[in-house]
Amino acid sequence: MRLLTVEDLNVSFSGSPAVRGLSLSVDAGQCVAIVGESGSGKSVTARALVGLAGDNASVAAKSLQLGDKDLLRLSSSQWRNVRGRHIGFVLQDALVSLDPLKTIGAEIAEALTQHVDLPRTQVRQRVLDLLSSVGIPDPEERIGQFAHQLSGGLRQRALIASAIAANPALLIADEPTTALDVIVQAQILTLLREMKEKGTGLILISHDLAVVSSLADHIIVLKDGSVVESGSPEQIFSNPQAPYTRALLAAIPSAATRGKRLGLNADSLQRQTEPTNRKEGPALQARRLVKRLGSRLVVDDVSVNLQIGETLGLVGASGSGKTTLARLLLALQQPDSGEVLIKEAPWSRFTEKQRRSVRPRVQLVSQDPLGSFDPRYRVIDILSEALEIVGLPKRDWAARAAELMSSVGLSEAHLSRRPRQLSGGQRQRVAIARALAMKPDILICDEPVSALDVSTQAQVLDLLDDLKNQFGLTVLFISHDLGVVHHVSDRVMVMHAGKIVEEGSVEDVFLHPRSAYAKELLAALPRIPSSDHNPQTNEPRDGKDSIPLSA
Amino acid sequence: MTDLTPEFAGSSPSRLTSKAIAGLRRIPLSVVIAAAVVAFLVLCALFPGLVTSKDPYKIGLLHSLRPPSFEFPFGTDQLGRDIFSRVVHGASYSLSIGLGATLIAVTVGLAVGLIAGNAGGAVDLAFMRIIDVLLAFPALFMSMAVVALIGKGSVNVLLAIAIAEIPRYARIVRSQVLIVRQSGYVEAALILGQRRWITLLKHVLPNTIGPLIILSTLGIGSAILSSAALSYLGLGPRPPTPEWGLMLAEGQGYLRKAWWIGVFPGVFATLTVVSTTILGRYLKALSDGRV
Repeated sequence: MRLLTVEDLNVSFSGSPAVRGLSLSVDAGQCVAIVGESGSGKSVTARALVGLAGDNASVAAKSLQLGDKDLLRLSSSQWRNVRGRHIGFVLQDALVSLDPLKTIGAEIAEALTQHVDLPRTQVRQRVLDLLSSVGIPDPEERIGQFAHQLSGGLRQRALIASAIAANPALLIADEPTTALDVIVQAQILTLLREMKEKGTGLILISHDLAVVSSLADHIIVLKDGSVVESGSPEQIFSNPQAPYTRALLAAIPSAATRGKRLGLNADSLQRQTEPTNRKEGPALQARRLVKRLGSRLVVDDVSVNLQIGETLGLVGASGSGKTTLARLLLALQQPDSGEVLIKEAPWSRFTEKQRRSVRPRVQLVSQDPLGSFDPRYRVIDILSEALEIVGLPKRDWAARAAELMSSVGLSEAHLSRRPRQLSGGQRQRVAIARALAMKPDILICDEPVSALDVSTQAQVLDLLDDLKNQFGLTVLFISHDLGVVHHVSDRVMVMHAGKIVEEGSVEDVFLHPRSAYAKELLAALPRIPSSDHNPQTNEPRDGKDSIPLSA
Repeated sequence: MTDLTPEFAGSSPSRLTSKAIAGLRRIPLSVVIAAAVVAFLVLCALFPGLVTSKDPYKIGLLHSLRPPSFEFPFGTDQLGRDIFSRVVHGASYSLSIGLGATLIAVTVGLAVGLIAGNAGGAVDLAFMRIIDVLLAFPALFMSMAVVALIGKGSVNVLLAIAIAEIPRYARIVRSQVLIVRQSGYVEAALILGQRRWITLLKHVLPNTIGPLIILSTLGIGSAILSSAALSYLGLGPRPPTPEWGLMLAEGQGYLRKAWWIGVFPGVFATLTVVSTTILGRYLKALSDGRV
């Protein structure tokens, strides 16, 4: 049964087009996925389909048909009847989308009674049914709780419950798992699959090809508002036609991309020869670190041994203690017990004054480069501060800054920009340039690419790899993304609930995990079904039928 | 190949300019009027001679207590002095007390807040408890107490108002310092190995002052109001100074016979306070990104 037909959808904001000529159709029990990077128009499409494109948007289409309803002719009050009743809408961020002053029971009951005429006595029972149907354990207890009392996964489930309260035939989910950890993501995807099997039509919006691969019957790839490719998952993954789709697939870091460049752009640097004066020995060590925040044990007896010249990956879900561990290693916080050594000097027991001369050697690349720049500064000011600290004479600053910019793939013209005027990838490059200005030995990268699009992520990962080889850096690479860690690391540590549960070479950890948690984590990873997802490399693959991809 | 999205290069300058022009058009009418009022008051304060040619002190008993007319737009008082001229000349007292008191309060508040916020621990605790005690008194009451201690007069009124406003600013500065100190860029400076006091000067101080300047424009209005109130109570400049609060007090006795003596200085004081407040609020909204 055909649920929704969209023909030639065009959305523009005050004249500038955001979506151009998009057509799709959804049948009952079918999932259509719209995939694209930020700014591709995928969320605008989703919002246009539920009449929420906004006052300054103009929506036009040859046809926009929901069952026998012409959606183009609806007034805003008629839209209210369609939303929830006929189309359910699930947003990315469940914490923002749920009313903080309402229990989830009240939230779902409101969505329910708005569209369904139900005797009061039955509302509670129906809400309980909904909660258990989306897999929320102990619905009797959860029904009275507020959004902040629930975990991210449970919030997302509650949001889905309220979207399907009136039993809509079609569900639109905009990045429903982006804010979630791999394991929780797998649970939500299973829930969506079950709903699809029960006959709900599904439009899934995501930036992540791997996430949609397991669910979609049809995939639409968007770029700058236009459809670049549209087809079945088999077609998209094994035989992508559009160069953009191919590049997108190739840019996904994974086991298959180890030791290879991800980006296709020719602007990246020439790969440098290995530095000859490689030394051996520990660069940074942590011995039995323990850190409590309040009553919670955040880092629990963790030892780290970072060898000179290696890239050590640290994987874990959010809240596992990765960032706190990084802060302890950087001596931004002091451990309750245990110690951190840099080249055998007791770094964590130094006073801040003693540390100051060592600090340049250990630099950080964080997830939020913008937050690490003084809001009043231009790029040149940001670099100058670092150059002043390393004691470079003022007359050499401009030349050195230009040199740094070129080593991170930016031009001198960017020096006079403000970070706000730069893209996410460019900001991260500036942060890396500042770290390089200090001539560090060790680079601690804390989720350096998790805020970036796949193609930008590929460029930044390539850059980090180049710089590591060029300057002989030792890298601690922290990420929740197994694909990224697999791509960059020599050795891997898996962190869970403050403990290191597994440690070993990349092959050992990813192919033969021993701990239960690492096994669960790897099993939950969405995989692209094709064995030949990477069209850039035409090498034959060994017998594996799936490749772990980014989460 | 250029298949991957090239990194976005930021808005072009021409688009930013047109955005700025569009922004200017959207300034609310109230803000435009408030700005015009403040501009007029500044003109009165700096060049009263351009606005009125009459002497505010000149007594003319022959035409005392005249109602507003073409010759005397705001009427005359019991001594036949031109009220319009007195109101115009009074602007300089009100504005200089308002600005001066706020400037002193902000400067001292900034120093106290920076020290308390940056030192933390016992120093912070001591400063903040003292400020709590000072804040427990109404500002006007504090000012009166200070005047009682150091004596009457324009300069003393200015000091008294400043002292009463210091705790407010110190508290705001301290909380802003605490926010900035936890920011990513202060941490980034620490990681680079920047000295603590340089971080304080280069990052904490400038990023604290921005919001403070905007907030202090809001404070000017209340400082002007306090100065008028103190003068009204006879604690400010002495007669025959053309100060608005003082004129209000003088006009009080004639309110039934000659309402214009008290009403016009009152209207001007109110206009000044309302206008500076509107401007301050608008600046604050601008900096919060709400406009």
